Amino acid sequence: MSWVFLISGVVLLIGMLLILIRALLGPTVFDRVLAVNSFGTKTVVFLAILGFISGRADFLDIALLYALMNFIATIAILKFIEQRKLS
Amino acid sequence: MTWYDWVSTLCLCIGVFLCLTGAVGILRMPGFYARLHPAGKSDSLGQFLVLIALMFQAYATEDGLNEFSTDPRLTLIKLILIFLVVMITGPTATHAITKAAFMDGLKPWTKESTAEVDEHRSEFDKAHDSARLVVQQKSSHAGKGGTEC
Repeated sequence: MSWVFLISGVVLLIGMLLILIRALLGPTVFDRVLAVNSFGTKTVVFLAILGFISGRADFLDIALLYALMNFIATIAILKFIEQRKLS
Repeated sequence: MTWYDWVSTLCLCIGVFLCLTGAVGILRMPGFYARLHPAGKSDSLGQFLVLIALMFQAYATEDGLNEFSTDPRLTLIKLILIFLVVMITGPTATHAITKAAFMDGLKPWTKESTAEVDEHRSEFDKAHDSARLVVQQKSSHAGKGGTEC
């Protein structure tokens, strides 16, 4: 079963690389924010798969933390773009 | 392999495939609002399927296949928490990005607006457009006709 997780992880990494290219190229700032947000959610899935590859459940905690942090970061960046201040 | 191993593998394959197609869509779609489509929908479904596959796998480890040192039920609860968080935050973030872009006055991409916003577009998109133009000219030059899509 481990090789299925391994192949899935590699395919997810390829997808993350493609999203990273869009984040670097993105014409507008919203393209970059969208790409970074999508990259973060893919990182959550990749961390969960990595926990199953290495056989350690601790990675799921990191994935949960990363999901929350990614959401807060996206909302904060968008609020800053919209209002030019965070307070 | 038990039956939940097979269900898990199937869900994992479909989910990872959807994640990859979503990534390709984010890279290749022409405008910002078009890029929201693969980022918002296929990515979400792919993540849900991968997490469901991992839940099946955590359940499968309960009878004899346990690789974890912790309780498998704890793994299941953690996966359900990640599932709920991703399910709530993903569409909310996409909606917030769309709203911010709309409030900022970003125009949707059309074929007519391509020349207008040409200076804002990246070299990648220009190369893509010129390559597509060459392909269209070649196909019309071949004289088959009626093969436009």
